[in-house]
Amino acid sequence: MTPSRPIPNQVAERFLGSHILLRCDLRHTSAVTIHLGVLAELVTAEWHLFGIAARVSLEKSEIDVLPAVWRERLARPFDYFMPAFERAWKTAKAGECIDLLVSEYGGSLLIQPPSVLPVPPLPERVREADRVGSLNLRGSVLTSIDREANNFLIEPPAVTLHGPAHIYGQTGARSSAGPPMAIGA
Amino acid sequence: MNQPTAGTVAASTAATASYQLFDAEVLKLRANWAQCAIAPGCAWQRCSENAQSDSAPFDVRDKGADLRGKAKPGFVKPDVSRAAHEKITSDLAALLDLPIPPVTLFRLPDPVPADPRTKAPGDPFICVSAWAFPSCDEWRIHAAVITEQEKASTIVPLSAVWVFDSWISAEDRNYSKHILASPTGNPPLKIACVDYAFSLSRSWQAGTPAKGAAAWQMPFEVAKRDAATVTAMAARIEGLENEAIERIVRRIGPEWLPSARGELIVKGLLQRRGEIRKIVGVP
Repeated sequence: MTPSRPIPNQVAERFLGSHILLRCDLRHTSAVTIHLGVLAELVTAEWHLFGIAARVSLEKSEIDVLPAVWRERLARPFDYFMPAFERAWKTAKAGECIDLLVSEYGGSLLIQPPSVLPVPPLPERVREADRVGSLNLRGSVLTSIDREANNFLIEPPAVTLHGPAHIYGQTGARSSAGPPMAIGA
Repeated sequence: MNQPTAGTVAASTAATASYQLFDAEVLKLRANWAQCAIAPGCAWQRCSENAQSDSAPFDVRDKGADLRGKAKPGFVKPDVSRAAHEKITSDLAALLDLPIPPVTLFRLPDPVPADPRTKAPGDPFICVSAWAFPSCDEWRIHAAVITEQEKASTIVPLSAVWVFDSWISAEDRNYSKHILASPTGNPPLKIACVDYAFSLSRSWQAGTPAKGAAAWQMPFEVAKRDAATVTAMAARIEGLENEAIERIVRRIGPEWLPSARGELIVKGLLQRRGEIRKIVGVP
């Protein structure tokens, strides 16, 4: 087994979480907000992880209250967001995937600016730069996404993903230059 | 309210045309907020973290008024008077009936949190921009579903906005990002132009070269502006009275706009108002 390497001081671990919301009437606080999913991003000295949990589909009662322009595209939220998720993974620097999407989705369809979250407890072995460590870390992050979905949102408070959701993540080993090296989804 | 569509605003009617498609609720808000620097009775509360961009905007809500808004700046950045620029721009646009949403200034109650990532101190002296439509997003989000007819319907209002942008020396315009659109499939397309932090005194600081016309970067291929609209908007700007311009700028408190910057803005607006035809190239 590869010996554990200490995390260099200059590389701060960071865990960010964000919610994906559709605001049916932007102007009014009393209007319906539909919770579509959650994003999370973890950066450690060795790894960069980016995960999404998004609803598979919306119920008819929800589709009925969506702005017309969104009804077709958001009928299956996970499918709608996957291209943007993959694009952010491929183009953004480690720790800036969510920020990239926040810069694009700030209106009716909102990806909230991320909250800085406590770094989840990670198994010691994930500090090892090997595939098993990466997969374990991804499992930790995706579990955290699921667990944190109800905890870090500023507004609306205490929402949960209503209905089945797909959870998907990308994991890459960080290198000193270039984008993260994906090793499997 | 007139609803301009491409090619329907002839020179004879352009002088009185309305270039926005806001509904009565937003027009009422605009009428109220444009009367003063700080709209009375507001109780805005932060309801999101800061976004990671130059102005670090964040969402706010006023539960009592049942309103949402977008606020900036997210932390102290004294290099540019972002909140004041947004407010002045909105109030001038209201005089000209342009598709720029209402803006009010606001002082957040203490304590104002620091930016969680940069650790920079929070700025209590913000502006809040209202949402113009029940549903809208950046143009690029809807680019695939906006019809050709809807695109064409924006030529007149965006031609008017281009003259305005030229007057106030709006820089950094990226129309696919700075135009919010609310497509329905049927023209005219409802649009709102936002994000005017980089204009006015930022563009007119000592030592910077004189500014010409704003960039014309439409979010789709349009070769020409609507000439009648450009001429009409230039005339409308020329017709603004000194007193109205000076009042809009000078009523802003020094917490949002240092007095020297305010006077720079007044000087620039009055000077460029007199040169607007030359700036936008109309006789």
